[in-house]
Amino acid sequence: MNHRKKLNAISSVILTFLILMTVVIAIMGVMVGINSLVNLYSSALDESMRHLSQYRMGQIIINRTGDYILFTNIGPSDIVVDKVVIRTITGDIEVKDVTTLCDHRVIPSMGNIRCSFTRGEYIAFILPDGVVLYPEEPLIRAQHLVFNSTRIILSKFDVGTMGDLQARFNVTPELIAKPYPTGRAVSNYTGMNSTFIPILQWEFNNTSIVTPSTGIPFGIVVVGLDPSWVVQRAQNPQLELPPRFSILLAVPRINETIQISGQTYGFPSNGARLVINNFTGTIRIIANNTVIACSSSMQGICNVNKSAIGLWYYGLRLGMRIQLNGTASYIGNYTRSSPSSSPTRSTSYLPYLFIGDIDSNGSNDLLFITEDVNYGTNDAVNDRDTWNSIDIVDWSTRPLVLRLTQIGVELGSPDGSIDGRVIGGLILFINVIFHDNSFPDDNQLNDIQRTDWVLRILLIDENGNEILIREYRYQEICLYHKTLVVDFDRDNYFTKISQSIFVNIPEPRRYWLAMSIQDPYRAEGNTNDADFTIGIELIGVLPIQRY
Amino acid sequence: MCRRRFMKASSEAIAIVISVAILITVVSYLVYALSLLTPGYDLPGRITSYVGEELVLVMLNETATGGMSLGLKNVGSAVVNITHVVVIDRDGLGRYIVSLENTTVCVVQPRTILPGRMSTISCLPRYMPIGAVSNNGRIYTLDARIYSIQLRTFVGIPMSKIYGGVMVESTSDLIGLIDPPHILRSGGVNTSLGFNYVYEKYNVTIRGNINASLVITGRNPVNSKLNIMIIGFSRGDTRSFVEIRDQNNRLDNITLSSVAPNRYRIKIENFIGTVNTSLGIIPCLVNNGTTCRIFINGTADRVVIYGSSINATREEGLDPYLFVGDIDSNDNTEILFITQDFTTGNRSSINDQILVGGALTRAVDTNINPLRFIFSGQPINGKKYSAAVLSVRLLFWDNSEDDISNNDNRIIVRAGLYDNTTGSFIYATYLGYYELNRYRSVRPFSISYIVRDFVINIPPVDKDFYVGLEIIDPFLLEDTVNDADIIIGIEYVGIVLSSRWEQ
Repeated sequence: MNHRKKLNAISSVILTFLILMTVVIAIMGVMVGINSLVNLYSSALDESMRHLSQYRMGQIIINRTGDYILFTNIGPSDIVVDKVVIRTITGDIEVKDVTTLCDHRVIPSMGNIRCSFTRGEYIAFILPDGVVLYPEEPLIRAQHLVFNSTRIILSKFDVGTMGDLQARFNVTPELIAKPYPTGRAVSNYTGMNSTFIPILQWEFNNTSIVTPSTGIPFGIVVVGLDPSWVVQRAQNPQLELPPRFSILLAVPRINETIQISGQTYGFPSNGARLVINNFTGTIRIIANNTVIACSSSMQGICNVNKSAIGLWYYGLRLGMRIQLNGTASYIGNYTRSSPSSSPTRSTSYLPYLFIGDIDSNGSNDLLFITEDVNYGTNDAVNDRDTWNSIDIVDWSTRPLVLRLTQIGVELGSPDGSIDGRVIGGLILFINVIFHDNSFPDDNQLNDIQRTDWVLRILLIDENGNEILIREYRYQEICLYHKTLVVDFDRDNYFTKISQSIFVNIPEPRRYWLAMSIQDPYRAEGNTNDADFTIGIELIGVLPIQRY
Repeated sequence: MCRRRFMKASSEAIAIVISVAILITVVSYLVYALSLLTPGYDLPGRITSYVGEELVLVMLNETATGGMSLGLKNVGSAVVNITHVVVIDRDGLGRYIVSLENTTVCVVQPRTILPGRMSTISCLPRYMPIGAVSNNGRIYTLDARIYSIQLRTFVGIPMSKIYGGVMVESTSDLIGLIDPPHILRSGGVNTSLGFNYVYEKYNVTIRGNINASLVITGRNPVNSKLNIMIIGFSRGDTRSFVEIRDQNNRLDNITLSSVAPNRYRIKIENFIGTVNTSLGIIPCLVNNGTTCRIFINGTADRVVIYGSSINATREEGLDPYLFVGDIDSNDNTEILFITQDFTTGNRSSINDQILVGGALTRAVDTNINPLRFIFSGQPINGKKYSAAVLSVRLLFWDNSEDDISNNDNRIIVRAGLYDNTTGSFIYATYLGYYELNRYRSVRPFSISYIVRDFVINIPPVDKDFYVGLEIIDPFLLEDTVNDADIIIGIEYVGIVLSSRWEQ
C-alpha cells in the first residue's frame, strides 16, 4: 500500500510536469506566433514603403511639342522604362515596348525621352520591376506663378514717326495735328500760340535736301538719331546699320537758300522751322569756315571727332552754320506767320516736338522746344531776332498730355491703364533735360519771376480727372542748365536730371500714368519771357503690388 | 481517509504546479518580449509620422542670382526634418544625395519644417536641388501636377550692392576696382605742382608735428583703425617733422620743409594711437584762414609721403589724390578723390593758390584720364536683364566761391553700364558742375550727401556688361576761370536689376 502510494505520487509529479510543460509551451507558442505575425506585417509595410518610394521617385511629365512628345523625368533618379501603354485613336489599348515608340529606354533625371506616337494617348509606363508610372500633364496653377520679381518697366519714346505719338501716348489729336494755313485744308489744331506762329506751308516726302557747301545760318538746330533707326537698331543689335538722322532746324529770315528736290527755297517771312525726318546723308556744323562737328550715314566722310548729334543753340549769334547733304523721308516747312493766317488763330505742338536720340545712348528722347533764335536778359525779350527786329515768343494755350500707356500694357491692361486694386504704387525714375534762353544764368530768377510749371507727372482716372503727382516749375528746373556754351568740347548746356518719384495709386479705380508739358511764359514786357527746351528720355517704372 | 488526504495533497500540488507554470511563462515571456519588442513598440509612432508627412516641392527661380532653388512646403500634419538633399549637376550627368550634416553644397533653411511652413533648398551654382529626404526616409520630389516655376517672392526690392560697406580698407585695395590700375602710379592727374615720391614704409611707429591746410580722417569699420590724409605746406616752417621707426628699429626723421616745402600729401593707413583730429574732412585753411597743427603718435600699417619742392607742372598717378575710410562713421567706407589742397578762389582769382613767405604756390590739379571704377563682381548680361536702376550715394565740394560764374558746366561724374571689350559706356548718365555745385557750401565748408537713382536701359545682346563709374576733375586753369579743385567721394553704389521678360 505504501509502495503503491509512493508510485502514485511519482506518476502524479510526472503528469504534473508534463501538463506544466504543455501549458508553458502552448502559451509561449501563442506569444511567439503573434510576434512573428507582427514581423510579417512589418516587412510587408516595408515592402510597400519601398514600392511607394520608388513610385514617388519616378515622376514623368508630358511636354507636347507638336511633331513629337517629350517625356520629362522630374524625379531624382533615372527611370528605366520597359513597356508603354497607349490608347490609339480608335480607342484600342496597346502595350508596346518603349523602344518601338521612343528614342531611349532610360529617362535620365531632369532629362527627356522623345516619343513619336502623337495620334493617341499615353496611359502609363511600366518599369521592369513592375512599378507603373502614369505620365501627367502639368497643371500650371495661377497661384504658383506669383508675379513678384523685381520688374522695371521702361516707357520709351520708341515711335517711328510723330504720327505714332497719338496712338502710343493717347495724345489729343488736335494738339499734334498738322497746322495748315487757312484755305489749304480743313484742319482743327490748337495748343500753342506765338508772336509769329509756325504754319505748315509745304511738305515733301522722300526727297533730297542740300544746302550750300558753306552751310546756312541757323537759330537753333537739334540733331538726333532717327527714332525709326533707334528702334531698328535695338531689334538688330548685331547689324551695322548706317545711321539715319532726325533734324529740327529753326532759321530766322535770311538771304540764303537751300535745294529741296532740286528746287530752290528761301527763308523769307519771319523765319521758319524745318522738320527733317529719317535723313540719310551728312550733317556738318561749321564755325569760322571750319567744320567743328560732323555726322554722316556714310563712313569716312567726317574728319572731325565731334559728332553733330545734339543741340546747337544760337548759331547766328555765335557765327555757326549748318550744312546738309542727303535725302529724307519727310521734310516739313513751318513758316513763321501772323496768327491771322491760321483758321484757329493758333498752332499745334507739332512744330515744337522732336523725337530722336540726341546723345547716342540707344534711347529716344522726346523734346519740346520753344526756343528759336536768341538768348536775352531781363532788359530784353529773350527770343528776339535782332537781325530782323522781331520777337519770336512761343507759349502754350493748352498743356500737352502724354499718357504713358506702355506701363499699363506691360502690367496686363491692353488700354494702358493701371488697376488700383492690384498695383498700390509706382516708383518712377525719370531722366529730364532742360535748357532755356534767359541769360546770364545767375540772373534768370530775376528775368523769370512768375513761378509756373513746365512738366508734370499725373494720374488720370477713368473719367478724365487729373491727379497731380509731381510738378517741375521753372524756378526748380532752371538751376541745372547753362544757357550759353562756347566750348563745345567740354562745356555742356545740360546734363540729364535723374529724379525718383513715388506715385501712390488710389483704390479701386483704373488710372493712366501721364506726363504733361507746357510753356507758360508769353512775355510780360521783358520778363517772364522764357522760351525753353524740355526733354524726357527714359521713364523707368518699378510697380509696387497692393497687398 | 488516507485516500482523501492523498487527493487533497495532489490537488494542492497541481495548483502549485499550475501557478508556478503561469509564473514561469509570464516571467519568461516578459524576458523574451523585452528583448524582442523594442522595434514593435516603435512601429506605430513611425507609421504615424511617416503617413502624416507630406511636402510639396516647387522650383523657385531666383531672379537675383539667376539660379534655381527648391521650395518645400509642408502640407502634412507632422513636423518634417530634412536630412538629405538630392542634387544633380548643371550638366545633368552627376547625381548626388547630399547629407546636410557635413556639406556646404546645399543649405536648407530651415531644416525642420513645421506643418504649413515653407523651407528653401539653395545649392552652389553648379548644382540644382531636385529632391529632399526626411529623417523618416521619405523621399520627396517635384509633383508633376504643380510642376510650374514659381517666381520667388521677395520682401522689398532685391538690390545688389556694387560698392559699399567695407570693400576696401586702404588705397592699395582700389587696384582691383580702378581701370586701368596703372593710373594709380602714372597718367592720372596733371598738376601745377609736381610731386616727388618722398617716403614710404610699412608697419611703423610714427610721431609727427605737421602743418596742415586740409586733414581727412576716416575709420576702418572693421577694426576701428584710422586712415589719415594730411595735406599742407611747410615753407619757412622748421617745426613740421615726421619721425618714423620701422620694425628693424631704424629711425627716420623727416623735416618736411626740406623735402616738401611747397606741398605735401601724407597718407597714414591703419593707424592706432593719438592724433588731435576728428573724423571727417577738416579744411583748416578754408574755414579759419590759417593752417592747423596735427600732432600724431602711434603705429601705422603704411605711411607714404608725397612732396613738392619746386613749382613744376607734371603728370602724376592718382595715388596721392585718393583716400579710403569711413569719414561719417556709418560703417560704409568712402572712396575720396581730392584735388583740393589749400584755399578757395573766384572768377577773378586762381582758386587753389597761396602766398607763403613771399612766394606764390599754386596747386591746381585736373584729371588727364578719368578715375574709372569698374565693378566686375556683378556681370550684367543683356539677354538676362532689360533695365536697371543704379543708385549712387556721393558727396561733392569745390573751392569756387562764385559757383557757376567761375566754372563751365563740365561733366564730373559719369555712371552707367560699361563694356570692357570695347572700353566704352553703352549707357551712361552724367552729373555736371552746374548741378553738383548746388549741394555744397564753399566757405564755411559744408557738404550734403547726394543720392541719385539712374534708370538704365540695357541692350538685348548676349554680352556681359559691368557697372562703371567715372570721376573727373575737369578743371585745371584758364586765365582765372575753370580752375576748381574738388573733393568728391563715393559711399555706396547699388543696382536693382529687372529680368528680361520674354513675351
